[in-house]
Amino acid sequence: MKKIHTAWTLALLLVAASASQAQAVDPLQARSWAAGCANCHGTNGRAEPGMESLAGVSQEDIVKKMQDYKTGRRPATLMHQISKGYSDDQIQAIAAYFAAQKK
Amino acid sequence: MRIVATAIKGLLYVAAALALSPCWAQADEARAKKIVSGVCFVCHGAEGESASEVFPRLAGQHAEYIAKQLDNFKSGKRKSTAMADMVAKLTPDEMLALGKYFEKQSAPVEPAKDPALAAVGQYIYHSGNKFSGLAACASCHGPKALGTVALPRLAGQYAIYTETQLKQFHQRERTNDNAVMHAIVSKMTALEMAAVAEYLSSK
Amino acid sequence: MKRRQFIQTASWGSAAGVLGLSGCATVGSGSGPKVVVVGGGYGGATAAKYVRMWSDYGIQVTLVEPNASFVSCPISNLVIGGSKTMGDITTPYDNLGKRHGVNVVRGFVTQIDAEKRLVKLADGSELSYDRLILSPGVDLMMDTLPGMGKPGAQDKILHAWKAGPQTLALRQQLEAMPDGGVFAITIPLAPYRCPPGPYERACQVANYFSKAKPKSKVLILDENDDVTSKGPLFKKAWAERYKGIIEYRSKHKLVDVDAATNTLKFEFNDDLKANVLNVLPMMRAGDIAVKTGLATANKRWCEVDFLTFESKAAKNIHVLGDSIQVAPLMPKSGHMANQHGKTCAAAVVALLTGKQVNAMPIYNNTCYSFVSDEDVVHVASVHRYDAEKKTMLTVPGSGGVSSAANELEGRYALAWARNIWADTLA
Repeated sequence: MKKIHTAWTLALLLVAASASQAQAVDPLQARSWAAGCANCHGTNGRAEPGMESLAGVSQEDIVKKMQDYKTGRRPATLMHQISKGYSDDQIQAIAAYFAAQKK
Repeated sequence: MRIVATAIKGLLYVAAALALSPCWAQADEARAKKIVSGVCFVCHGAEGESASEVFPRLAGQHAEYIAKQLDNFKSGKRKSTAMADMVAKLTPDEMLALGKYFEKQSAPVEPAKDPALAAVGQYIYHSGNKFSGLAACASCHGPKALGTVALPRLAGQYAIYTETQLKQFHQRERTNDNAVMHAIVSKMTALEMAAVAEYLSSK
Repeated sequence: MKRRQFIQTASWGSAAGVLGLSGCATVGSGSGPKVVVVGGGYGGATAAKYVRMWSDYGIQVTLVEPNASFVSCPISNLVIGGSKTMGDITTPYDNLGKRHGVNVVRGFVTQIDAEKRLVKLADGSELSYDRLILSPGVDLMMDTLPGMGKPGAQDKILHAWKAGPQTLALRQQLEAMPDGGVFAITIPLAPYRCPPGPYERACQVANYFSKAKPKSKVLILDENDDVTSKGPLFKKAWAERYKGIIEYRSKHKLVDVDAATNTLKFEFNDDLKANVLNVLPMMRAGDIAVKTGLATANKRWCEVDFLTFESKAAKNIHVLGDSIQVAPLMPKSGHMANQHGKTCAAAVVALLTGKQVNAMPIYNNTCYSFVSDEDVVHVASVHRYDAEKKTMLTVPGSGGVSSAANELEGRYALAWARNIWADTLA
């Protein structure tokens, strides 16, 4: 009994791991989510002076910053409040969208 | 060597000018406090203690060094997307005032998170690495890592920030003060950088 | 001059329509799907631009707007306070045409025929649509205050709640006021356009008085039980920066105004006279939405499907911005209208091209208020679609306000303005 239980758990974990890595988010949905950032960070993440651009920034960098805001590791005036409204998957998808935009 | 000598001379002139100027102290401190509580506090803390290891502590740092960094951020000599906007409106007087303000502050130092690593860092900091030809950091930054007018205080700085600066000197991503520092850091291994940074954070 | 511009823009628009046909079935006839947008504010202008962008310029978009240029309500309180000019808050509509091929028509919509899918303008012309996006803002229900119906009353007693000539006129009234005078602003029961706006305006006027007319007073007469947005932060600003200048009185319901004597009359409180009156009456969705029967909530606000912003009362008509019946904790703000515009644009493009509508819209609101000419406080919220309740709900644990007013956020506020104006109009 124990052997089957362990195997099943392992299988589930593997599926979960691969699913979270290969999470196929609808690109148009990611585009819509990312558009919510344009009010401060500019259309398609190309910001006017005074605010950081996100266009062409690596996905890794954006995700790290957003996670740092979410955990409070990076102080902010309001990004900590905004980042907590998005799930980790949503942040990954939004970051990927901006990484693909032209600077 | 000549570059260093010139830099030191320049900063000594600044220091002399500071010492000779009349009591601007009060007005400038008020102005510095206003700027700090209006802008700097979010990342560096109201007293330069910096609540987050992502941003450097400024408490106890040399006034001239801070003023120079602010000036370098403004001119673009030191690149930083975050700092460029912050300093755009600062005048040289304000930069000096901010430096003086932070120099007066003090922040409590926390014990090292990894004492064994810090011990390695202590050896490197004070003795260098004769096997690789790495000079001792203490020979310039002082035995207590307090720096001088020309060189930054390293004592009590967040390990991650110090380590990041070392890496950036190595990759020439830090584009100021790097004539000497690049040569030094190019002889450091990843372990040595992390160890020295860890040691300094608890000093 | 204007007609020539209109013709130029119109022909550019149809040329763009022909050029953008790559995705369409019929070639050469210039007939892609047609979207008409009514209202060139934060909601409508954004929707127009994004429908063009996100349809790869295949969908024809006509934007009908009565004003020559976009004048922003956000930051307009700083014009009233004296630290910004009208030029600072004005943006022309040119780029919508030049960069995105939106056909910008300067006009006023008088009637909508939902059956025939026709929009009729005041000059007699008509526009047909496949989908209509209405973003007509708010209308101020001056008829709830009988005295405001008297001739000349509305020229003397201003609202300045639609940025433009009244903004400047109110500033001029304040400049002309003698030192020692009183500025009184009345606030209606929520919901109204821009919850923190009146309190920000009070700060701006007090800031001006503190420098130029230090013996003068600012009276806030609020029908609500308490400050409706960023209460503690505003009250702190009033106590610390404008002591002796600002006085806040809640639970004051305005029932009439006597323009001849500058008297405010309340339901239960004593009459009040002031040198400069700023009256904000009860508000509702823009006239055209109400006339078309779309204001299903209390006859004041338009209920919509939050996935597409389609009106619950009419097919193929979408309503955005201040006009809608809001979801819980959703403010009536320019920032929010811009978010509506993008969400609606995505849905309209999907609907017109046979694609799937986004089932999980999620967007944020960030609202900055200037308590002086430099220092700012904010409130932020994140709103996510709830499939069960079929509305937008705030995400638990997210959002919040500033811990204190500060100059850094003042800089961010101005950067926000630059960016949202570009996102909406450039």
